[in-house]
Amino acid sequence: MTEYSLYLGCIIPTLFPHVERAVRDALFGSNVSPAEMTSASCCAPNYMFGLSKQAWLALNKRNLSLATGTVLTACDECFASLQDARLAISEGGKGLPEVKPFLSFLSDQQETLKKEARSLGLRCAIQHSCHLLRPSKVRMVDNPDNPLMMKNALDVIGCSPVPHDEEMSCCGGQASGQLSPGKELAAKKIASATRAGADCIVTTCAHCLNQISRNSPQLPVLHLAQLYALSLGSDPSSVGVPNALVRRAAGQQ
Amino acid sequence: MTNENLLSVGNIVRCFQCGTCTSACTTNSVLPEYNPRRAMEMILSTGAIPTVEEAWACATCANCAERCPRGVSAMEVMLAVRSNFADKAPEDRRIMARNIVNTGHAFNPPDGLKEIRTRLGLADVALDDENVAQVQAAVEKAGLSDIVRSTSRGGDKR
Repeated sequence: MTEYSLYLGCIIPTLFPHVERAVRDALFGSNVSPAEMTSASCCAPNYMFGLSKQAWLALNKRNLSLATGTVLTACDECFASLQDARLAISEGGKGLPEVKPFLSFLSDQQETLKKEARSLGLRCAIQHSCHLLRPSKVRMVDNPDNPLMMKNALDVIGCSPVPHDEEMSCCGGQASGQLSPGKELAAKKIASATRAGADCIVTTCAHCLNQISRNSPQLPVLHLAQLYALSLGSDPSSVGVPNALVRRAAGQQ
Repeated sequence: MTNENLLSVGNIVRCFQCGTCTSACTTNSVLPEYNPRRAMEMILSTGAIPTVEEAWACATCANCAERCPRGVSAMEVMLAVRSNFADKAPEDRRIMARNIVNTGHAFNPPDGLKEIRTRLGLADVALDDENVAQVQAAVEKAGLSDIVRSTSRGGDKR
């Protein structure tokens, strides 16, 4: 059985503690007890800071040294940052722990989860995170043009993906400064999901979650772990699922 | 970073100016004046370096790198330009860097976080002094601390 170390990054524990609860509940539901990485720092994604590649590398060398077994990330930006660092430190990441994103983990655990999961019947607009998919030659997670893992993961908990115009576009969260198109990109995404009649937007990236939810006063934006935790019987308020969604999910029973 | 260094980043010298990067570019879709093909052309032909504003307008979606028929990553070039102007980075990013140096985490805990986490059965998220010292030792050599020292003391929250 694979041994995991849980790397939560900083956005989830500080800005979305309910998502952390949901991630832990979903892991519990998968019968996986990961080692903690409470001494780890931010993964300082070079995409985000672009300030010092050396500092990014030094931080992640330390982070990877704190892990036992495979590093399981709850945020796709952390996944990309740690994966890039792993490959930059040694050829092919030799001698370093593997890094696995939450969505791949759920995919591995599908058979166990299917037995425990209750069908939620929600209509979800998927936010495919850029850093989970591209560059696909490096990430090697899913097909970058027709990603299926999120759709399959929703199917396990009885949710249906709602196709929408901006499904494959970027949330804009990593742009910054005077010219930043971030707000406009988030607004387009939210409008497109709303037009498609989705109950919520769902993602596995904490940066997408932060960027889109800050700009979406109406339509709920959730981490996939929150829906999994709800499906596995967690208290909705402890995993931050809004009442309207809970009622809608209950109506399907 | 000089232009000579930029020429060693992201396979830029293989660029044959087809413009696929610009067609695929997220930022260009809403900000037409941001044009990665043109930025690559300028670097290659005149040695001009994109501005710091342009470099930070890149959303790092990696569509350019995914689609380029020549294996060029305009995104990586833009990231290299960012580090070239590290002391002029947008303030929100510099504050995050400062938070990392001071606490190990990019985001400062909002008010009441500890209580919320306790209620949810989650342990405190703050790194202890020993771990913060390790983080500081790791980034000190890399020069991030210098950038942080030059950051104005603004608000701590994004």
